[in-house]
Amino acid sequence: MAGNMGSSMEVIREARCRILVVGVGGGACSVLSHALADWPNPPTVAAVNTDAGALAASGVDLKVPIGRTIAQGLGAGGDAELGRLAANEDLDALRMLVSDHDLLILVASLGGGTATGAAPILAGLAREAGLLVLAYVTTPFDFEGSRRQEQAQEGLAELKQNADAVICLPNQRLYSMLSPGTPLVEAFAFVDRMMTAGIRGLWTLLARDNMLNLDFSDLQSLVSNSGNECVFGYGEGSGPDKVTQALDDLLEGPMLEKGQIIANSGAMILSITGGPDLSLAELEMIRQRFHKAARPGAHTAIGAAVLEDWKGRVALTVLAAEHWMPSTAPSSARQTLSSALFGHPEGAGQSTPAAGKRGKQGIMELDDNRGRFQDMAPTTYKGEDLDIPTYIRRGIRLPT
Amino acid sequence: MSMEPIVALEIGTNRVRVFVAEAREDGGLVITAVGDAACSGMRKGEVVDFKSVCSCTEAALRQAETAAQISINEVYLLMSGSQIEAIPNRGEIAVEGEITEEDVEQVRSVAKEVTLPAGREILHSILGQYGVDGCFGVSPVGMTGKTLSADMLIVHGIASRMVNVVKVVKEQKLEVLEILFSGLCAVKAALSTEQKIQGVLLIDLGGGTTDYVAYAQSKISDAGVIGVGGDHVTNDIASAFRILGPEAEKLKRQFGDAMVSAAGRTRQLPVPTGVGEEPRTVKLYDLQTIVHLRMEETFGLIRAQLQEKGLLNQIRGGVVLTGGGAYLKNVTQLAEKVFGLPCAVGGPRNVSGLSANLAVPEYSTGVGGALYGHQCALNKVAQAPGFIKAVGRWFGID
Repeated sequence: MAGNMGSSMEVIREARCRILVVGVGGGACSVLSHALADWPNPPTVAAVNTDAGALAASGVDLKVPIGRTIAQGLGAGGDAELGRLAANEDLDALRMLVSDHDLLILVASLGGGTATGAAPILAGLAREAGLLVLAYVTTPFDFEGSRRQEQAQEGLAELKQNADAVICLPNQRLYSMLSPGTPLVEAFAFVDRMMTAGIRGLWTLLARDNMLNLDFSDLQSLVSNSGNECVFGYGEGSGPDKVTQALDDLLEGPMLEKGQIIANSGAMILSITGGPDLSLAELEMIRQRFHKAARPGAHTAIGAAVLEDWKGRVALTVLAAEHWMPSTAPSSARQTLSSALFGHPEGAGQSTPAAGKRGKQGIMELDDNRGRFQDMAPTTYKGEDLDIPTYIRRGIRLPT
Repeated sequence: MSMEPIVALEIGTNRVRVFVAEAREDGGLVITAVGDAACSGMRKGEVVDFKSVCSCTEAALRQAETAAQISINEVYLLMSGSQIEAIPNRGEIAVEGEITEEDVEQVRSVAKEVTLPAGREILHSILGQYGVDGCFGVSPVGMTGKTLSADMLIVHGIASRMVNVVKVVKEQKLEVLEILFSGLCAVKAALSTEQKIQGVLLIDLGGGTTDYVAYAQSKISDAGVIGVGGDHVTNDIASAFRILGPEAEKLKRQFGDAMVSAAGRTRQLPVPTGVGEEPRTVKLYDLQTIVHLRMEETFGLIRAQLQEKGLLNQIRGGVVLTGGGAYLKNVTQLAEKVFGLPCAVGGPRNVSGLSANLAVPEYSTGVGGALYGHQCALNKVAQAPGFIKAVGRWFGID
């Protein structure tokens, strides 16, 4: 059972899902412009912004201006409330944008007005339309000021309620990766590069016929048990020691707090991107190093993609769930049951419509769900009552 | 025909099945009639409502008797249930000089002597291999050595739980010739010799239980029962969508899928509602998630058992799925994912003249039971006294 996400590398069949990548606000749109510059066969990428000028200049094909009346195409001026109103003005356009897709990767640099205000609304709409929503966001550097930081945190909290999972990359965490003399422009360019790598790492694994594919269900499994929060890490290397370099970059670097986050996480998805020269021994080396770094029993799904133009290079992308709810611990059966019934234990202030609706739908009678096996001796395995539906023991909220 | 018709009776959690077979002149076996009736009163392979199981069993027997135009007096009874387990056991004796047939016989009986927890009874002792002075996999007769060993796999179950099934049969005024573990019967019908040599895992996806038998190094190396079956899938669906069992069963059969698909996120399925309720739909995606999680867990449990015993990497021939659960959409794909091995659905194959409507995965155990019974009968004729000693061999390769 512990092998369901597989502690070993598994050959997983292709999983195709219709992926939509949307950048909300100026920062995210510029990230996506960069990402698209050298992206062969990209997914559908859209930019949503209040700033008509920035939108026009963006290299993204699909442009969705919002709040043309309220913001008059001039941007939200750092005001999240204005961003929210702008999104509400164009709900139909946003609904249209997300229709006919399965997975939304929502990119936003929180702290800005449009991103902070509009991103949670877009996430909510997408989830209503049945998409799995992954929000990929940054929070500001400390030097950007405390108001921006506070606004970002509020947006983050709201986004966590509306998205299936939020992957947050605090810029401040990247600060220590930069030398003190780094020019401001370069610091932001660095953030852009990290975001780009993450989006593409995720997309590569889900969308292509890879050597080792990840399924949509692996992602779903990680995301739905993640407590709505994932951590993202990225490392790359080149030359003869490329794998060691990439591993050091990832596991010793600040993005995963020197590997501490890997050690804490209950589940993770590791994506390996390499060239045709990527060898089995190298894959094994990565697997072993991860096995050592991770806590015992952590669920790890590994996918690998080989791209022609990646010769001599390797990149590692990790999505880790620190607050992953383990499904096998017998004592947690009740706990996860209650979270299955009432939504997330920490999701106290469920003010948003989407979150509220889901919470209600999940409510069931408070029997122990053994159903037709009610009066029988339970079938147990390592203390777990197998007669209780698996999805309940895994803490998955149904219907979605 | 010199031999009596062979009758295998399988009292499953959802169906009672009776297979009548006759031996042919050339030594082959032909299935002449089948009785197949719905069964209520069983849960997870065990009797919970004696009366109702009796009447279901009677219905299936009458059906078979009418079709075969015989009167059934004795049966081979197939048995499953989560209480059935297997343990390996090695017997060893000292020998002098050349090893004789008698030595071999002696070591076999020593290997069968195993102390089981109170209340447990041996169903099968399956011979694995012989060893002479630590050299295994040999044919010992004629060799010279100091110690001779035999490895056996002992399949055993809780007597009190099996007694209830036997009582159902006795109620029909029938004799039970042998009690057979249904997983081993499925193996008999659904696996080829090549598969057994390569190493293969057979999983019988039943209504109440999931039985498995693993061949490694040309011999049965593990067998067991997980007390989780198709009923659990149905129960999970009923619980999630708050619908009744029969409706959940219908939904499972029509739309159930062991893999989650992206397309499922947008597909809505109608579910029946009570009087005065508004029509309701559920998401295919949710149904897929429920089924996927349960099946993945069940396969995962088997995988964990095999891994614990160090057998997983010895199964090279892949996984064969049989039983009614093998109809579940994408179930082979899921098994391939969990075990990392090729996987296929298998039905009964080792019977001559099997018509297409009999060569279905849910008949593997019953047909296997008839095959087993046939071999029992042949041996009885060949060597009237002490035929039991050869039982284990029939599951081997030879």
